[in-house]
Amino acid sequence: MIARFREFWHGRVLFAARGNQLARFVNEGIQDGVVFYKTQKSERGLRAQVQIKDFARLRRAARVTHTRVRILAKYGWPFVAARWWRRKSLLAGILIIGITLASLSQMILSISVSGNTTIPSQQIFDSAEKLGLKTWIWQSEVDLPKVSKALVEQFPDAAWIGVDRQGTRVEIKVVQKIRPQVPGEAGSLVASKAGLIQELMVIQGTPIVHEGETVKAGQVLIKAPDIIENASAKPKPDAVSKPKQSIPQPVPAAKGFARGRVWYSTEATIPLVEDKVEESGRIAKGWGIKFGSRVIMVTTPESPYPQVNQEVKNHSWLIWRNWRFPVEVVSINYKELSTVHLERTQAEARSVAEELARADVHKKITPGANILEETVRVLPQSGGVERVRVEVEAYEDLAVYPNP
Amino acid sequence: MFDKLSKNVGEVLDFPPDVAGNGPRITITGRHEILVENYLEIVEFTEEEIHLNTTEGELSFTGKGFVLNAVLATELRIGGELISLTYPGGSETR
Repeated sequence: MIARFREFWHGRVLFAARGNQLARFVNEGIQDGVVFYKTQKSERGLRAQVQIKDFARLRRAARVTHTRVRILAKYGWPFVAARWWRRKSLLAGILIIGITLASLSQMILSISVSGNTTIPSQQIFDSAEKLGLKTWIWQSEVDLPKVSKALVEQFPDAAWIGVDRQGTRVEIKVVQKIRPQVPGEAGSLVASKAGLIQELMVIQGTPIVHEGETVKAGQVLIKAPDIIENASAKPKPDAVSKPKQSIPQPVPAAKGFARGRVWYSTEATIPLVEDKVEESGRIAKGWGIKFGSRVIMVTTPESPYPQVNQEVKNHSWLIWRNWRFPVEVVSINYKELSTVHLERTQAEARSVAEELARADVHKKITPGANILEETVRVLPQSGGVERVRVEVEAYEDLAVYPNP
Repeated sequence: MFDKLSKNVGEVLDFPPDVAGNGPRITITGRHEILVENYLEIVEFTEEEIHLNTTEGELSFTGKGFVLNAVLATELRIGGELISLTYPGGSETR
């Protein structure tokens, strides 16, 4: 190996020699300090390899013995280097392309916005740019989680804004708040769900409903104030024009709250006799080696249980960037499943159904709402099932701004 | 004169002959590698035959597909299949 490398490093010249005194040619060469390698003789003459520096020294031997020497091939690094040196500009070009690609891949080249329905994309782009997220900047200069946090604060209509970078592309994903769709009522406060209004407080705007009124979802509660424009008003001719103080612009939006009662209800059905498949809690572990799509299990090649829930985990090594080591270790957890035969009494089934329905109804209630009353009703059952309905009465603010 | 003296001194001091003398040293490893040290010159060589001049007279190898893997002033490495090694001059040497 080392000898091969030295051969490559020093460079070799393969030549053919023709003449009548080839043995003498070699002897004369040796006397001049030439070392011959892989010397072979055939009918056509002699073939041998010498180092580059030795080739010039063959001249005297060739002249003395009337031997004609012809180069057949040149091997080794000095020749490769010389060839590349002749193509300097090509090398420089490759280098420049490499550097350009490497540096471009470290920049943000495109930004896109998705998921926005009413917020204009341009507005999001502008805000992002103010926060430092724009094209043609280094990726390391922007703190993306910080940008997404700041964007959510700037757009009250957005429930969540995620900023995700994949390579040079940044995607701003927007999830907008779901609000009642009431066209033409921008700025007014509408009911978020059906309920009974009990407390109405108007800070700005005109109340449309009164306390004690039942409202439907999307019904206007407080109308936005109109902008009063007095077209006939003219400045007095003799009035001294004073420097105007900054006057707050009238905001054409209703302000206030409308608290009221809201009812929620859910039903749940639980059979008295039930066959259920559940995890028994017993787990068998096995591991193997994965190569491409092939898996060779080292331990526990087959599931020891007849009914099983498999959990497969791949452990792979990320060596460089997204290049993975082709061999992965796979670990499998076999979770035994068993069929459970359940027989419940009426009371048991009822309490299970009640729990289920209660958990369900609490998911629906607006966070922060006051729960006034909870009633559990057992519904008439048929065919060995228990039906339970949980009704919750809550007290909460119904007024929200609609989506236009 | 010096050769004779060194030879005699070598004999007295029990030096091995390759240290004391300057005759060729031939190392044959298996059948495909031959190393000849202290040869004088190459007389003739083809793929089947190699004739070398040494202080002990002409040395010849016969075989198949001979290649001189390395040719240095005092050392010769031969590759190929060896059939025989002879001193064709017999005992006419010094």
